[in-house]
Amino acid sequence: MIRFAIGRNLVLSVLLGIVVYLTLIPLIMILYGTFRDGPPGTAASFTLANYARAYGDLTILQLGLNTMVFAVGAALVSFGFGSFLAWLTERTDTPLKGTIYGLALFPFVIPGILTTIAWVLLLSPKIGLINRFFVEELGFAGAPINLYSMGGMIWVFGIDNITLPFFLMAAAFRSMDPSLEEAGRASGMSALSTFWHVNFKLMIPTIFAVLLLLVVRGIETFEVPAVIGLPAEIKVYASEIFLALRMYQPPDYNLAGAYSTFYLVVASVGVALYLKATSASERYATITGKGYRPRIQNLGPWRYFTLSLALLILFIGVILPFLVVALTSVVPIYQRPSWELVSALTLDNYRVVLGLDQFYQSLVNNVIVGIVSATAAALLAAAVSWVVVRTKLRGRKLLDIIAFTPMAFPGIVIGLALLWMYLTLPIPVYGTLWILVIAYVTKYTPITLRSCHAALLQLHPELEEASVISGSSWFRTFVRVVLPLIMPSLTAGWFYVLALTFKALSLPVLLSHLGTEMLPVVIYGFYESGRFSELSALGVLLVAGLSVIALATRMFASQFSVQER
Amino acid sequence: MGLSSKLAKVLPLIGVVAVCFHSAARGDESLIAGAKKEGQLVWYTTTTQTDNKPILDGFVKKYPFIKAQSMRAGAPELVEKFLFERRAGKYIADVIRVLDFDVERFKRESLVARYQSPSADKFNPSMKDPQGYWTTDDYTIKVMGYNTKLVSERDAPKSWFDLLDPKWQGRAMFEILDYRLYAGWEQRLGVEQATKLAEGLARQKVVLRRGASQIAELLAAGEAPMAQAYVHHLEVLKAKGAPVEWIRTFDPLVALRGAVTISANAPHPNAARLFVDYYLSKEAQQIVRTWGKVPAHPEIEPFHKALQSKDLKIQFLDPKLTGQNYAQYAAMAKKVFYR
Repeated sequence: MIRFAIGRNLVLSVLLGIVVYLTLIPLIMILYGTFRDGPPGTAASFTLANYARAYGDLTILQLGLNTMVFAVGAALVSFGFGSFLAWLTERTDTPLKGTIYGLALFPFVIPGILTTIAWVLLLSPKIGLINRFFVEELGFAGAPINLYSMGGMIWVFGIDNITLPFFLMAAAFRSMDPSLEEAGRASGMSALSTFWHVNFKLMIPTIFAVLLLLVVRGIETFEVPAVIGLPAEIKVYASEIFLALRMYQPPDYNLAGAYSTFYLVVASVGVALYLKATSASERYATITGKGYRPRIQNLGPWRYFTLSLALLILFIGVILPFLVVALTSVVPIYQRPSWELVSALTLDNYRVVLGLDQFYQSLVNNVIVGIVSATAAALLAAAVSWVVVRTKLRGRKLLDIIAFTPMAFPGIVIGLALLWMYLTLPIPVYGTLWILVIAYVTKYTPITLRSCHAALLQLHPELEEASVISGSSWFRTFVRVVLPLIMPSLTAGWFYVLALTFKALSLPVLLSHLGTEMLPVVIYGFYESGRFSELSALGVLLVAGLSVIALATRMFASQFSVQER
Repeated sequence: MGLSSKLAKVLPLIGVVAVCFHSAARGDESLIAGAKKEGQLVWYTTTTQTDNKPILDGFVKKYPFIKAQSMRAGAPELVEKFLFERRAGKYIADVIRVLDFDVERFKRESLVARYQSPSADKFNPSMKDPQGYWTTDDYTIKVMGYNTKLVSERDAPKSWFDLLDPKWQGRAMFEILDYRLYAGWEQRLGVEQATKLAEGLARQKVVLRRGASQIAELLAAGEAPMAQAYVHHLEVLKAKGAPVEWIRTFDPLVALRGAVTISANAPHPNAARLFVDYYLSKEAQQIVRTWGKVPAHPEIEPFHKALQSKDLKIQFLDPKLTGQNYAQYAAMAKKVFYR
């Protein structure tokens, strides 16, 4: 028994050591930088000026308010739509589940800059196709929807992020214990009441985890605040950081770091509250020693209503912007759709993309780095979550908070810290694919961490105890019992991390080097040189490619699902 | 060529030209011998991946013993990456192609070397750093474009100050915080006129958007009738049939110059010089021409006919002055191009 504990502790110590190494050093470097008046490697001195500039006047309150309205608003949009679709596909007999599942994935894989521009072409008061339709076909006096508003920002970012809640909530719905629902119904509760008192409360860990991830994504994102927010004259923290980094000459990284400490506080407080709210872990255990399978709700004729609603959401939120991207990819330049346009259709843009050497090289790099990073992030998260949920180790909550902080830092801030770190440390990863793996694992482990943590809370310890009592080692129990049971959540997080390596720009643009370019770098190259048609063609190809991976992941995950099919 | 650049410091201008001519023929031999030993070249550049390929291919065809690679990134990231590498004592890049202001930053930290390529002998002085650290490969200009479905050529404003007419209120689109545009006004028109223009435009409620390439695309789609955009973006759109045109008579038309420079302590210094010589040669400049900007070589006509005109009132930003006055330019840009 003692040998058993030593083995376990050794494995856990190594994994936890990796997490601390990956997150704590960049974190300290960034914080150190906020007290300096120049970039690392130059003759800079100690200063408090960055904090004075970042937080020194009252406009910061307006910025903070805007940031929270935007981040929370968008999180609620994503969460509402994502959970609704997840419930339909996991727990009801709504038809066309595969179609709904496939469409809900689209926003995951289209480059963010493309969807943002697609929304400009749909909802701009002047040229937006939807607004034109209202004015020209329905006789409205003026454009009814203004994209350049807080509502527009929330909508665009919210709808672009439905896939994360969709995946994680689907995993939670799949692990629901139906006997608890049946008990609710048997004691005379209505369906709605059961949903509220049983399902909702049991899913609190996942719900909070998803909301926390979404809110942190919302305060950290640059694209929507820059492309829609700045024209709308709505400023958030991210747009200030964006200006400090892109508009100042030279870019002011110390100031950007000082701004990011706000994120750090929000994220740390968020995780602390989350851990407190979910600390009574047994309360959420739905996967127990008893055999069961989640019940599919028979909606009767209502299933056509839920189907229509799902398709409506997906049509407006996902298909319309994708159609704009697809249209842009087959015409020489973007124009309003018309019959004359049909004669101008061309596949030239696809030819350009497919004829580019860097496309293939970066695709191969991206697949390798993405899969390695996502897998490493999932394993580290499983180890950290297990320690946080199952042990009484002192400092375990602090560990969780530290491991979560990289999520809150803008990619470019963390990217620069890593750049400097691996240029100066005697670890030969600079210029190789490894530095990208390190960066992605650092930045995205928080995602798998939250999904894993929530999934472990649903897992009753009695299963592990049973395995250990019947003679399995801890390691074997972890691999054969714990991992398979949290697999749906783990694959959801895994796939999200993989998708982000195809989508997020700020890390690879700084850390890619000769021959280690990633796809977002190629994408951004097209964007900067104004080649929107080629960029759109690349977007369509990505959707096709990642949809295949996603469906394969779903099939893989369903093998581990406790649900009978 | 190390010798010739040292001489350039002491000899008068005529002497410099003579030395360059002289050393060009002889230097080539020793450069080639040196580059053969080095066998590699690393080029950091902000030009796009599709554009770089023919340049590298042409170079390797000429010097098949050199393995040439390029790393492409946008301006702020590429500049920072190079600065970080150098401050950490890592020497990877041989040749760097960014904008002239960026090279000024490199000069301040002594990170780049002087090199006056014989290929640039005939270049206009405005295409070279007076101190010999960089040479321009091509430049582009910011122009006032208009959507021909929304504005006729006859109605279009003819000068910057025409934009202050009330009829253009809320109709011209600019990039958020475009301090370089303001810098161009001030360097051309003087502080007084530039301030007058800036304050007038601030009252005109210009349309503000983010991203130069996106602005060109939005102009073509009709988001605003007029927009300040890069001429090469507009010309490409025009060639594809988009309803866009630009106004030739604005004074100034602010230009952004590319700058090619060689890293001090480049790991492959001979290959680096061969590459710069090739890149600025007539042969490579024929390729550069097809990118749509204005090639620096005086004997190569710009690809787009409209840019061949000699009447354009082009204002190159003074890289040193722009660096020194940055705070003031940015403050003015904040008044006009930010709300």
